[in-house]
Amino acid sequence: MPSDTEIIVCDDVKKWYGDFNVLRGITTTVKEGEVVVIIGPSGSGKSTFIRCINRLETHQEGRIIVDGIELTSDVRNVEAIRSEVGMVFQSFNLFPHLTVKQNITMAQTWVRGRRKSEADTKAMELLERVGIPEQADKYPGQLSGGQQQRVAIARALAMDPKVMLFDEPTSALDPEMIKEVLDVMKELARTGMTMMVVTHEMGFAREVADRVLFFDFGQVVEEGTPEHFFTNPQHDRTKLFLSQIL
Amino acid sequence: MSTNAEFGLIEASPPPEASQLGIVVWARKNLFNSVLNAVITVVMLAVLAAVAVGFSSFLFADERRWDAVTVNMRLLMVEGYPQDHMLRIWLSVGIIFALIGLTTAAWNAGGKLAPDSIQRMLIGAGSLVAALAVFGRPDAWVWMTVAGAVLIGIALVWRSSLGKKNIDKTIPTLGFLGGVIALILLVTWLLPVAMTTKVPWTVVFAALVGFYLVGRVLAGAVNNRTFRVVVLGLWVASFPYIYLVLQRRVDLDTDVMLTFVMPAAFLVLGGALIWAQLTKFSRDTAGVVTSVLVALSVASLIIPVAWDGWLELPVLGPLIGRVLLFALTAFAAGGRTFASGEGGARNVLVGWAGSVIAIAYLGTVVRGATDLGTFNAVYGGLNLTMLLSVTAIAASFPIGVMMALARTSKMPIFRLLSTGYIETIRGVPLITVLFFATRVLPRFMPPELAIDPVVAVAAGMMFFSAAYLAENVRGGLQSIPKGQTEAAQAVGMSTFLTTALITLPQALRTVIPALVGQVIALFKDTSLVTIIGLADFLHVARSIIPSQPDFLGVLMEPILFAALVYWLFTFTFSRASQRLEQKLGVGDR
Ligand SMILES: Nc1ncnc2c1ncn2[C@@H]1O[C@H](COP(=O)(O)OP(=O)(O)OP(=O)(O)O)[C@@H](O)[C@H]1O
Ligand SMILES: [Mg+2]
Repeated sequence: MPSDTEIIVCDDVKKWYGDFNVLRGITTTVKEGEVVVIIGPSGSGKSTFIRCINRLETHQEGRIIVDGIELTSDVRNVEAIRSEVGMVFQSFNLFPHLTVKQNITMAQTWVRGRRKSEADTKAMELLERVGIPEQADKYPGQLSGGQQQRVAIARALAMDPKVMLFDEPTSALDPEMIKEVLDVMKELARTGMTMMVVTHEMGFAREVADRVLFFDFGQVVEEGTPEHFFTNPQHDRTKLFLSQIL
Repeated sequence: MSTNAEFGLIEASPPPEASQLGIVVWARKNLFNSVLNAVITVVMLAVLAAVAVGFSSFLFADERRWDAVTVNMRLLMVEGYPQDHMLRIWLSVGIIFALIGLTTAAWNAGGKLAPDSIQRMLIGAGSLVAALAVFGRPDAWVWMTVAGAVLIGIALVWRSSLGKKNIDKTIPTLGFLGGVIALILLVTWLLPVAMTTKVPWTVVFAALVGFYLVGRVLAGAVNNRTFRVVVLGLWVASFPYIYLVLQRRVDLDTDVMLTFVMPAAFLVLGGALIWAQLTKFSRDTAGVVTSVLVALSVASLIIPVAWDGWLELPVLGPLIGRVLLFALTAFAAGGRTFASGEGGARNVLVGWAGSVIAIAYLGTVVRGATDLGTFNAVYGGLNLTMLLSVTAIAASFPIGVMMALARTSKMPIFRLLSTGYIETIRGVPLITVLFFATRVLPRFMPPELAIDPVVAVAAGMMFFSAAYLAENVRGGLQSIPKGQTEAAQAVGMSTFLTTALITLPQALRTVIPALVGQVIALFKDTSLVTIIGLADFLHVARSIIPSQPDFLGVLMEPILFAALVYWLFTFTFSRASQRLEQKLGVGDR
């Protein structure tokens, strides 16, 4: 269960796209080992927020501190953070010109500076863990969506990240493949990984989350334990959203 | 055709016994399957026959002067290369064939041939020779007919001797080709054929086979990847070695020595400075170092202008020194954005070493004295065509890729420079670029820096081709989805690594067909150099031979021969690139 160390600190984070205010002051902290699920209507800024945490997007006001390092425009800081924070995308984004195994070893050797044999062993361990060691030498295009997403998770884990970010990891999947990806994520949560997950899978939120954030119009409207959320939501907008989605 | 499908039958492949009659069956099914098709087939065959007859009677007419080609073979191949030094040319050919042998061994290239297709080839070749005998000169038609009959006979006897069991056995295409060439060479030795180059060709062929065998042994003994990298490295090194050293024999004088010592110093000291810049210095110190280097670079531009006496110094040394200083400044300033972690610093250092060696190598040999004369005097014929196209293609590749990257980069100044360059070059015809490089540019240069026309033309073609290549590569880069870059960044890759490992390889793969088209076009465009007075392959065929007293006005034969040679090269090239595409699975992944 979560320790007391704060690994992500967001302090009044604001961001604009032109005149459009996507993030209107997000303040939250994530503790080591915590699983935070972010829900909210489409266009509310969930992806934008989670992408700010490894600086795929830049925020314009406020502070984001990850593992004690503040995210600024300093390139070296950004790269240091990115190798500590794993990210899994809705559309997998595997590298199509590399085999599954190479997808997982590439950053290990070039960014972490590991030896090839070491990286290979690690890749096979992780493929074992996500349940598809037999696919190691195939190309991503030859795998099903669920298998691809599990490779993407293995690729992120290979960097030994302290935090894992998931942006709607199951939204692009056929229903029968959603479970296999969620199972991997649940196992990950059980081993104590710090996770931030944007998802519409309420079952997952209820079962795994330590805390749920409800986003609307670029703000955290309501925040609490899954139990609080699904039994006793306070805000009208939260109630409306939950009634629509459940 | 559709009857089978209408009755829901599945088309069965014919049993092996039937393949002896394969051609007949195939013809009946595809060419004579309806009255209309039969008529069309007959008419087309008649037209083809008429064309073939016309063409062969042209090729073999009595007044044809094919001796204009055979007598002038050396001229076509190397033009005015000093005769006493022909050994150097043969050594070059030998090196290339040896490398081809090693390469096929390393990649285990080449397909398999079934007995049926070999039989078909032999029968085809035999019939062709026999048919051509009709148009042969009186002294030739007898043995042409005999040769054709022998070929067909061999095909039939050999095929039926195989029996049913061996019908599916295949022969490596390479082995077959090797056998055919060996046979041809054997014939030239046995029969009194007048061929002055049969000794060197035999040796070259032996080198090809020998190196192929050595390559097979090596491929089994060492790590395959390492072996392939070494072979690729040998290819890269071979052409500069052949054209800059082997065929020219560079003398070492003080000027050249200076250009060796200085790069060595830059390599070591500059390397140390870059290393410190990346890993040891604080941001502030690094900034100061960069500023000092920029100031020095600027000063090195101003001093020679302000000080009249500089031209008395050996020119090349200081010039290279200045280029190296610019490169060092660029690395010291830009290294940090490219490097990430320790591996990053190592990569930047490798890049630095490569740049220094390239600058020194080019600077040294391009202008170094030679005992064989200037490039212009030494190179001509097919040799010059090869020199120009290989240099222009190989050198335009890195430049084009860098231009494409610059044009898609976030830095406005890079974008501006590269866009300006590309649009300027693409706006003018190649001839203009060539004229500019050979006629206009020298007027702005101090006489000590006079560049040989061959070098100027090669450089002009390189810059020209780079602009088009850049646009092709940029198209490829833009086709890569944004998610790829994001995924690479998300695992901590720097911009440099993301480009080098993720986006660029994917982009290059998608533009292979376009690049091949460009390479083929460039290869043929080298024939434009005739306009500025270089004696390339086509120039020899088109102007030199027809103005020889013996062959006055004989134009058709050498031109046809030239066309055949150009076609052979481009055809081989496009086949090779098709295989590459298949291997990389372009379109599948
Ligand atoms: N590059 C951009 N330029 C301008 N507006 C953008 C850009 N990216 C996103 N937006 C806008 O910002 C808002 C928030 O987008 P975001 O992708 O963060 O929403 P989301 O909560 O993840 O929604 P979804 O559930 O549909 O993924 C949307 O209204 C979107 O149109
Ligand atoms: Mg989203």
